[in-house]
Amino acid sequence: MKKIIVFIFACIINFCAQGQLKNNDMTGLVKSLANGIHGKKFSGEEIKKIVNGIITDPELYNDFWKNFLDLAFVKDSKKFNFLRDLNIKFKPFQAEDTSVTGLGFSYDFKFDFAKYTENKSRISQDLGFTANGNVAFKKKLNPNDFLESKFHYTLSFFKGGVIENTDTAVFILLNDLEDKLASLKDMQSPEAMALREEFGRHLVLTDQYYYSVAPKFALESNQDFTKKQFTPGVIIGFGAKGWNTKSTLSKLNVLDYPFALLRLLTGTDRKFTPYGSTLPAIQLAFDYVIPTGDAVRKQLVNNSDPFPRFKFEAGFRTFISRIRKENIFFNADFRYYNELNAKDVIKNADLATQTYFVMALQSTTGMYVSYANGKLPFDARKDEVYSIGFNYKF
Amino acid sequence: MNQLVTNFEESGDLRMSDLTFFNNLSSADLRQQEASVIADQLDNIFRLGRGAKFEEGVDRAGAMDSMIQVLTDEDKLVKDLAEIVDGAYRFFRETEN
Repeated sequence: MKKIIVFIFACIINFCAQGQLKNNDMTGLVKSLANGIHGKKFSGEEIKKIVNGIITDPELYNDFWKNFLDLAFVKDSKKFNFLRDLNIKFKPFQAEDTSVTGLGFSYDFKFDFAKYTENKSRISQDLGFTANGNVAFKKKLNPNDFLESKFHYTLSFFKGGVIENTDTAVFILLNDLEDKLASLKDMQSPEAMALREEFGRHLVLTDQYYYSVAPKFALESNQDFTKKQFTPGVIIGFGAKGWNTKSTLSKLNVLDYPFALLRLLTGTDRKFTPYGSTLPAIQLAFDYVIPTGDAVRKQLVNNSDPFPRFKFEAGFRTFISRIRKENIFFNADFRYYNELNAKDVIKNADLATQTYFVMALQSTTGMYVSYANGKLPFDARKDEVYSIGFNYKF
Repeated sequence: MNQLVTNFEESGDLRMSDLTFFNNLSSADLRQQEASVIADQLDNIFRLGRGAKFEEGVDRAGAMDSMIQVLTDEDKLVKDLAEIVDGAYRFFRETEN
């Protein structure tokens, strides 16, 4: 790993040194160091301390990296194009059981190759690779020693959404209406409502449907790959949006009925209007779970063998009201996990099937009231919002 | 699209997490799915409903990917999304304005 890091830096420094490193933060830093030392008597130890302070500062390397990117894109944008998808941030690392800090970096890389075809449906095929993790130059100082590299393929089908306009006069009219709307302060004023109504008559939205299949294959490891595991799975997604509030699909969104009533009572909507755009999103997933670090499971079954698991998730979010400049939303999420062919000892410990429900009232300025019930499986607990009970965070 | 109730001036500084589609209680996978649906609908509206064309060198896959990256980042603003859209689509009569 050290060799790789040194190689990367050698490349960066070599690139920067090709007569192009001018007037940047690095030279400024060196100059200020030289000016600070000039004319003063420092012992070898003091100079070493000053230099150590500089070379362990993550900002020095962030500047190096930024300079490298700027120069790379100017010099040969095509050759270095892949770097646009790579985010590297140098930062200090500190292990939980020590006060010693060390240098390292986090990285995040995403590359997608997408293909799009259109016939009765709009079909997207997306083949991608993502990688992210934290690497400390001294491994023992890494408190979050985890890298994930994932290949995925997503086949998505979209249908409906809008009625195609072909009349250029309509495009001009829509542009004009948009300009008028942009000049208004109150979007609930009669003038705004009338303009929006006219806009909606010419830009006719319809029901939109979506489904997808996404096999994925991830490699999880620590930073020197001495511990690694493969996590395959497949996600199947379903979505529908009734963008036109008069559509049958919108009326079928019974989950939104209480909120449609609240919108009516608070004057947000003039009529009882369930939003079809807030129909719940649904996902099914089949995962091959490797229960690393799950001490309870290891104690029960005496091993950390992988197991297959089914997951169902439904998410719902809708708008309730706007009070002064505060937008209030209702959010909810339900998840169900079932371990397939679970051993009796797992069933008896109530770990074979787990459900988790969470809902919250949220406002744009941070008011947050939530309620959660149930439990997420061990490997998904990072998503846990709160444990059982009511929580108020003002 | 029932995502905004604010006026034009205020809308630019709204974060993605302030829009109706962004459910921060859902898993990242489900949010990604919702973002894909919204991006598809934006593309529909721009091209089919409003007569926009892709800017040179941009195709549907690239435009969708750029929009989804913004739509899945809770800290990105509506004006960030607008910038992406502006770079990907040439709207009808845009050059005249």
